[in-house]
Amino acid sequence: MTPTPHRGRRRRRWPTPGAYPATVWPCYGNDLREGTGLLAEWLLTAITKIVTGYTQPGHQVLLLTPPSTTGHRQADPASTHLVRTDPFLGLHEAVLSLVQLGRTVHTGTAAPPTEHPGLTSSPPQSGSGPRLSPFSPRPHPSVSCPDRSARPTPPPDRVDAIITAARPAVLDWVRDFAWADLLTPRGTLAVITHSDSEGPELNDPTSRLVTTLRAHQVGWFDHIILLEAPLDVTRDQSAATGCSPLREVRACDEHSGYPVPVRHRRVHSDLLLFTAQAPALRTDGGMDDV
Amino acid sequence: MCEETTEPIPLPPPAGQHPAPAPSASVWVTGQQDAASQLAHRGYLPATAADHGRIPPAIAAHAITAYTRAGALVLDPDCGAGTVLVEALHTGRHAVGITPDRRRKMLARANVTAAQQAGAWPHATVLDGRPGHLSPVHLAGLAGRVDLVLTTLRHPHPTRPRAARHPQHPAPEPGSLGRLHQALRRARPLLQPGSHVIITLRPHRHHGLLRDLPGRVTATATDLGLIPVQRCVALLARLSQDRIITRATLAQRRCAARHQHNLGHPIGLLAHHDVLIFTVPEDWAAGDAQPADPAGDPGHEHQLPPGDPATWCSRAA
Repeated sequence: MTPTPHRGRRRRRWPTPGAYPATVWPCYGNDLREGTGLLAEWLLTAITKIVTGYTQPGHQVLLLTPPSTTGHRQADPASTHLVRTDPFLGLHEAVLSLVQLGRTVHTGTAAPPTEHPGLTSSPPQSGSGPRLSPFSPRPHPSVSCPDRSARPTPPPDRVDAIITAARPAVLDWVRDFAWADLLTPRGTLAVITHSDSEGPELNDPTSRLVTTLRAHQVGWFDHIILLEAPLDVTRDQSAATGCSPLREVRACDEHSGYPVPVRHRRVHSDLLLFTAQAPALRTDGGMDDV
Repeated sequence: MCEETTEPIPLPPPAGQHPAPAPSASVWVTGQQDAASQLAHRGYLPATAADHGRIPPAIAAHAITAYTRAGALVLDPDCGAGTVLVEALHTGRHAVGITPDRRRKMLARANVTAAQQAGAWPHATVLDGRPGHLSPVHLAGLAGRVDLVLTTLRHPHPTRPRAARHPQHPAPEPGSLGRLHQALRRARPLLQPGSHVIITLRPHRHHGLLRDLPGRVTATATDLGLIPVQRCVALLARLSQDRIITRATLAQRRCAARHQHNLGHPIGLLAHHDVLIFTVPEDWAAGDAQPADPAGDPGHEHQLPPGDPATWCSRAA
C-alpha cells in the first residue's frame, strides 16, 4: 500500500515584504544615474523605477513630453532658461537608460491645445522629434530599439506604458488624448505632476487629471510620492518626539509671529498611475484600505 | 578679464534676535517611530490603539508646531481618542476636542488627564458632539478664538460587520465625507481670520481603484469658504537615507496582494498620509464667525472676557 500524498489545505502564499513598492519613492542620491543636461537626476531615477516596476523587458514604452508652459515654444536644448524653469522638458533624455533595460522606447511631444488644426495631424517638429496630435488615435513618435544594429521599427498601435508629465498650469492637452486607445489592455499610464502653492491659492492638478482621465476609461490605481531631495530627518523628527515641551514652546515664541505664514518648501512630486483595464467588480461591493 | 562679484557677508543677528527658521519641507518626516512607540512615548492609554482613524501623534505634533505658537488654541472637531489634544498640550497649546462617540470621549478625556498629570500645563476639554448634546452655547465662548483646526477624514474600519458593507446599505464614503462636512461646519464659526485648517487623509480604494478623496475634501472645504494653500505629505514609514522602510500590517499586505491580482499591477504599500492645508480668509465675514445662538442676543453672549483661556475652557466643559 503506497502512502497517499498529503492533501492538506492549500495555503495561499503571500508575498514577501520586499515584493511590493511603497507609496513613497526616494529618487535622490543615486550615484549611478547622474541625470543629463536636460533631465534632472530625480526624474531619471523615477522614470527608471516606473519602467522596472510596471513593465517587463521587451515591452513598448512611450515617453511623452508635455507641451511647454510658453505655449508655442517646444523643447529647445539650447534654451537653458527653459530647462532650468521646466524640468519636464528633458523627458526624452531618459531613452538611453530605458533602452539599456531592454525596453523599446518611443518618444513624442504633445501639441498644445491652442494649436489644434482640427482632426489632422500636426507636422513633425525638428529638434525635439515629432509631435503628437492630440486627436491622433495612435502615437507617431520616433523609435529607439534595444538592438542598435537593427533598423527602427514603426511604432505599434498600442504601448505597454506611457510616461508623461503634467504641469499644474497646462493641463488642457491631457483631455484631448484617447489614452485608452494608446495602451494595451494591461498597460500603465504614469503621469508625473506636482502642486503649485506659489500663488495665493493652491493649484493642485491631481483631481483635474483624475477626472479627465476617468472620462477616457483609464482608472487611477496608485499615487506615489517622489522625493526629489533628501530630508533632514533629525530636524523634523525633533518636533514630533525629541524636544521637551518647554524648550519647544520658547522657540515658537521667539521665531513665529501671528498669524503664522507657513509655506513649505516643495521637495516632492506626485506620480499618478492609471490603468486601462477596468478591474473586476467585487460581489460584496466592499471598500478596502491599503 | 573677469569681474569679481563680492557678495555681502551675512551679519549675525542682533542680540536677542534669532534668524528666521528655514521653511520646513513639504514632506513631513513623521514615521521614524512606529505607531506603538509613538503612543508609548507620550503615555497614551492602551485603548488608544483601537482608534484606527486617529491622527498619528507625530503628524499632529508636526502640524501644531508648524502652524501655531505657544498658547494658541487647537480644535479637533472629530477628535476620536484625542491624539491631537494630547499633542497640543505637550507642545504648549490649549486644545478643544469634539467627538460624537461617547466611549471615545471618555478615552480622550483620560488621555488628556494623563498628559496633564505628566506635566503638560495648558488646558484642554472634550465636548460631546452627539446630536442634542452639543448646543451652540457650549461653543459660544470659543467663537473666533481657534487658531488651528486639525482633524482627519475617518473611514469605517474594515473589520466592521459585513452588513455595513453590503451594497444595499448606504455607502460608507458619503458618510465619512458628510461627517467631515458636519465637523467643519461646526468649527467654522470658531475660526478666526488668518487661522488654518489641516485635514489628513489616508488613501482609500474602491474596487481596487483609488478614490479622489483629496479632491472631494477640498471641494467640501472650499464650499465652506476655506482657501486651499498647500498639500503636503506626512510619512508613516521610516526614512533611512535613500530607503523607505514601510510598516504595513499583514492585512494591508494581503489587501495589496488582492488588488495586484485584480489589476495586474503592483500596488504600493501605504507609507504616507495626504495633508491638505487651508486658510481662513482675512475678510472672514463677522456674521460667519458667530455661532447661532438660540437664546438670542448673540452679540452679548459671544463676548469673551479677556484673560486666561482656562476660564472659558473650563466653562465650556
